[in-house]
Amino acid sequence: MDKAPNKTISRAFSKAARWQIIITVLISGSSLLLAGTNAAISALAGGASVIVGGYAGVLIAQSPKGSAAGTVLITLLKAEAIKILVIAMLLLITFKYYQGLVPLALIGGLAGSALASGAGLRTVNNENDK
Amino acid sequence: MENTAQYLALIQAYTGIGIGLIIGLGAAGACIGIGIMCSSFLDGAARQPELMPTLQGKVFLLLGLIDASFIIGVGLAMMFAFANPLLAVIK
Repeated sequence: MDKAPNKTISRAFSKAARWQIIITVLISGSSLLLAGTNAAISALAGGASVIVGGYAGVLIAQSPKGSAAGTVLITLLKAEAIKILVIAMLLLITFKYYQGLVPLALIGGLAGSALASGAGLRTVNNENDK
Repeated sequence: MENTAQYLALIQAYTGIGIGLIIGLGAAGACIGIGIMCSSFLDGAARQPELMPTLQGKVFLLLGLIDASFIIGVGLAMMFAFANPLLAVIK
Protein backbone atom coordinates (compact mmCIF):
# COMPACT_ATOMS: atom_id res chain seq x y z
CA MET A 1 0.00 0.00 0.00
CA ASP A 2 2.76 2.42 0.89
CA LYS A 3 5.08 1.67 -2.04
CA ALA A 4 2.65 2.26 -4.94
CA PRO A 5 1.80 5.94 -4.30
CA ASN A 6 5.46 6.77 -3.64
CA LYS A 7 6.38 5.32 -7.02
CA THR A 8 3.54 7.24 -8.64
CA ILE A 9 4.65 10.49 -7.04
CA SER A 10 8.32 10.12 -7.97
CA ARG A 11 7.45 9.01 -11.53
CA ALA A 12 5.06 11.92 -11.96
CA PHE A 13 7.65 14.31 -10.57
CA SER A 14 10.38 13.02 -12.86
CA LYS A 15 8.13 13.47 -15.90
CA ALA A 16 7.11 16.94 -14.73
CA ALA A 17 10.75 17.85 -13.99
CA ARG A 18 11.73 16.79 -17.50
CA TRP A 19 9.19 19.21 -18.98
CA GLN A 20 10.21 21.90 -16.51
CA ILE A 21 13.87 21.57 -17.54
CA ILE A 22 12.97 21.69 -21.25
CA ILE A 23 10.82 24.81 -20.85
CA THR A 24 13.39 26.53 -18.60
CA VAL A 25 16.16 25.90 -21.14
CA LEU A 26 13.92 27.18 -23.95
CA ILE A 27 13.09 30.39 -22.06
CA SER A 28 16.73 30.79 -21.08
CA GLY A 29 17.83 30.36 -24.70
CA SER A 30 15.34 32.93 -25.96
CA SER A 31 16.40 35.32 -23.15
CA LEU A 32 20.02 34.85 -24.23
CA LEU A 33 19.12 35.83 -27.77
CA LEU A 34 16.90 38.76 -26.77
CA ALA A 35 18.62 40.27 -23.72
CA GLY A 36 22.04 38.72 -23.16
CA THR A 37 23.85 36.44 -20.75
CA ASN A 38 22.51 37.93 -17.51
CA ALA A 39 18.93 37.40 -18.69
CA ALA A 40 19.69 33.79 -19.58
CA ILE A 41 21.22 33.14 -16.14
CA SER A 42 18.25 34.86 -14.49
CA ALA A 43 15.78 32.65 -16.37
CA LEU A 44 17.79 29.57 -15.39
CA ALA A 45 17.78 30.69 -11.75
CA GLY A 46 13.98 31.15 -11.81
CA GLY A 47 13.33 27.75 -13.36
CA ALA A 48 15.89 25.98 -11.18
CA SER A 49 14.38 27.34 -7.97
CA VAL A 50 11.00 25.76 -8.86
CA ILE A 51 12.62 22.43 -9.80
CA VAL A 52 14.72 22.30 -6.61
CA GLY A 53 11.66 23.22 -4.53
CA GLY A 54 9.63 20.47 -6.21
CA TYR A 55 12.38 17.94 -5.49
CA ALA A 56 12.42 18.97 -1.82
CA GLY A 57 8.64 18.47 -1.74
CA VAL A 58 8.91 15.01 -3.31
CA LEU A 59 11.47 13.96 -0.70
CA ILE A 60 8.98 14.81 2.05
CA ALA A 61 5.97 13.32 0.21
CA GLN A 62 7.73 9.98 -0.25
CA SER A 63 7.80 9.24 3.46
CA PRO A 64 4.20 9.15 4.75
CA LYS A 65 3.86 8.11 8.43
CA GLY A 66 0.77 5.97 7.75
CA SER A 67 -1.71 4.92 5.09
CA ALA A 68 -4.85 6.63 6.38
CA ALA A 69 -6.32 9.34 4.15
CA GLY A 70 -5.81 12.08 6.76
CA THR A 71 -2.18 11.13 7.35
CA VAL A 72 -1.45 11.03 3.62
CA LEU A 73 -3.08 14.45 3.19
CA ILE A 74 -1.07 15.99 6.04
CA THR A 75 2.16 14.61 4.52
CA LEU A 76 1.25 16.07 1.13
CA LEU A 77 0.41 19.48 2.62
CA LYS A 78 3.67 19.42 4.60
CA ALA A 79 5.54 18.63 1.38
CA GLU A 80 3.81 21.53 -0.38
CA ALA A 81 4.65 23.94 2.45
CA ILE A 82 8.32 22.93 2.32
CA LYS A 83 8.28 23.29 -1.47
CA ILE A 84 6.99 26.86 -1.26
CA LEU A 85 9.44 27.71 1.52
CA VAL A 86 12.41 26.40 -0.49
CA ILE A 87 11.28 28.27 -3.62
CA ALA A 88 10.79 31.52 -1.68
CA MET A 89 14.22 31.20 -0.02
CA LEU A 90 15.96 30.52 -3.34
CA LEU A 91 14.20 33.47 -4.97
CA LEU A 92 15.13 35.70 -2.04
CA ILE A 93 18.79 34.67 -2.31
CA THR A 94 18.75 35.26 -6.07
CA PHE A 95 17.16 38.70 -5.79
CA LYS A 96 19.45 39.77 -2.95
CA TYR A 97 22.84 38.54 -4.13
CA TYR A 98 22.76 38.39 -7.94
CA GLN A 99 23.88 41.85 -9.05
CA GLY A 100 23.20 41.51 -12.78
CA LEU A 101 19.69 40.12 -12.36
CA VAL A 102 17.13 40.65 -15.13
CA PRO A 103 13.83 40.43 -13.20
CA LEU A 104 11.51 39.83 -16.16
CA ALA A 105 13.61 36.91 -17.40
CA LEU A 106 13.60 35.40 -13.91
CA ILE A 107 9.81 35.74 -13.67
CA GLY A 108 9.50 34.19 -17.14
CA GLY A 109 11.61 31.18 -16.19
CA LEU A 110 9.76 30.84 -12.89
CA ALA A 111 6.30 31.03 -14.47
CA GLY A 112 7.16 28.63 -17.29
CA SER A 113 8.65 26.11 -14.92
CA ALA A 114 5.80 26.37 -12.39
CA LEU A 115 3.12 25.95 -15.04
CA ALA A 116 4.95 23.04 -16.70
CA SER A 117 4.63 21.01 -13.48
CA GLY A 118 1.12 20.11 -14.63
CA ALA A 119 2.66 17.98 -17.39
CA GLY A 120 3.20 15.21 -14.85
CA LEU A 121 -0.56 14.92 -14.43
CA ARG A 122 -0.91 13.71 -18.01
CA THR A 123 1.61 10.95 -17.34
CA VAL A 124 -0.28 9.76 -14.26
CA ASN A 125 -3.55 9.81 -16.23
CA ASN A 126 -2.01 7.82 -19.09
CA GLU A 127 -0.66 5.20 -16.69
CA ASN A 128 -4.04 4.87 -15.02
CA ASP A 129 -5.76 4.44 -18.39
CA LYS A 130 -3.43 1.57 -19.25
CA MET B 1 14.80 67.69 -4.56
CA GLU B 2 12.06 67.67 -1.96
CA ASN B 3 9.54 66.74 -4.64
CA THR B 4 11.73 63.82 -5.72
CA ALA B 5 11.89 62.49 -2.17
CA GLN B 6 8.12 62.79 -1.88
CA TYR B 7 7.56 60.95 -5.16
CA LEU B 8 10.00 58.24 -4.02
CA ALA B 9 8.16 57.80 -0.74
CA LEU B 10 4.82 57.74 -2.56
CA ILE B 11 5.97 55.07 -5.02
CA GLN B 12 7.46 52.94 -2.25
CA ALA B 13 4.32 53.22 -0.15
CA TYR B 14 2.00 52.22 -2.98
CA THR B 15 4.39 49.44 -4.00
CA GLY B 16 4.26 48.10 -0.44
CA ILE B 17 0.47 48.01 -0.58
CA GLY B 18 0.65 46.29 -3.96
CA ILE B 19 3.07 43.66 -2.67
CA GLY B 20 0.76 42.95 0.26
CA LEU B 21 -2.23 42.58 -2.08
CA ILE B 22 -0.32 40.32 -4.50
CA ILE B 23 0.82 37.94 -1.77
CA GLY B 24 -2.33 38.14 0.34
CA LEU B 25 -4.90 37.63 -2.42
CA GLY B 26 -2.71 34.97 -4.07
CA ALA B 27 -2.41 33.08 -0.79
CA ALA B 28 -6.16 33.36 -0.19
CA GLY B 29 -6.95 31.98 -3.64
CA ALA B 30 -4.48 29.14 -3.30
CA CYS B 31 -5.82 28.26 0.16
CA ILE B 32 -9.42 28.15 -1.09
CA GLY B 33 -8.39 25.92 -4.03
CA ILE B 34 -6.35 23.59 -1.84
CA GLY B 35 -9.18 23.38 0.70
CA ILE B 36 -11.70 22.37 -1.99
CA MET B 37 -9.30 19.80 -3.46
CA CYS B 38 -8.38 18.29 -0.09
CA SER B 39 -12.02 17.94 0.92
CA SER B 40 -12.70 16.19 -2.39
CA PHE B 41 -9.73 13.88 -1.79
CA LEU B 42 -11.00 12.94 1.68
CA ASP B 43 -14.48 12.43 0.24
CA GLY B 44 -13.15 10.16 -2.51
CA ALA B 45 -10.90 8.24 -0.11
CA ALA B 46 -13.83 7.64 2.24
CA ARG B 47 -16.08 6.38 -0.56
CA GLN B 48 -13.48 4.24 -2.32
CA PRO B 49 -10.37 3.61 -0.19
CA GLU B 50 -8.83 1.42 -2.92
CA LEU B 51 -8.45 4.51 -5.13
CA MET B 52 -6.29 6.35 -2.59
CA PRO B 53 -2.87 5.49 -4.11
CA THR B 54 -4.09 6.69 -7.52
CA LEU B 55 -5.51 9.87 -6.07
CA GLN B 56 -2.40 10.60 -4.00
CA GLY B 57 -0.18 11.23 -7.02
CA LYS B 58 -2.81 13.41 -8.67
CA VAL B 59 -3.34 15.41 -5.48
CA PHE B 60 0.40 16.09 -5.24
CA LEU B 61 0.58 17.35 -8.82
CA LEU B 62 -2.58 19.43 -8.51
CA LEU B 63 -1.24 21.00 -5.33
CA GLY B 64 1.71 22.16 -7.42
CA LEU B 65 -0.57 23.53 -10.13
CA ILE B 66 -2.82 25.38 -7.67
CA ASP B 67 0.23 26.87 -6.00
CA ALA B 68 1.83 27.85 -9.30
CA SER B 69 -0.11 31.11 -9.48
CA PHE B 70 0.83 31.91 -5.88
CA ILE B 71 4.52 31.17 -6.56
CA ILE B 72 4.46 33.41 -9.63
CA GLY B 73 2.84 36.10 -7.47
CA VAL B 74 5.60 35.73 -4.87
CA GLY B 75 8.20 36.11 -7.63
CA LEU B 76 6.49 39.26 -8.92
CA ALA B 77 6.22 40.64 -5.39
CA MET B 78 9.94 40.04 -4.84
CA MET B 79 10.67 41.81 -8.11
CA PHE B 80 8.76 44.86 -6.87
CA ALA B 81 10.45 44.64 -3.47
CA PHE B 82 14.06 44.27 -4.62
CA ALA B 83 14.20 45.65 -8.17
CA ASN B 84 11.23 47.99 -8.45
CA PRO B 85 10.92 49.07 -12.11
CA LEU B 86 8.55 51.91 -11.14
CA LEU B 87 11.40 53.77 -9.41
CA ALA B 88 13.11 54.20 -12.79
CA VAL B 89 10.61 56.97 -13.58
CA ILE B 90 12.19 59.22 -10.95
CA LYS B 91 15.83 58.39 -11.68
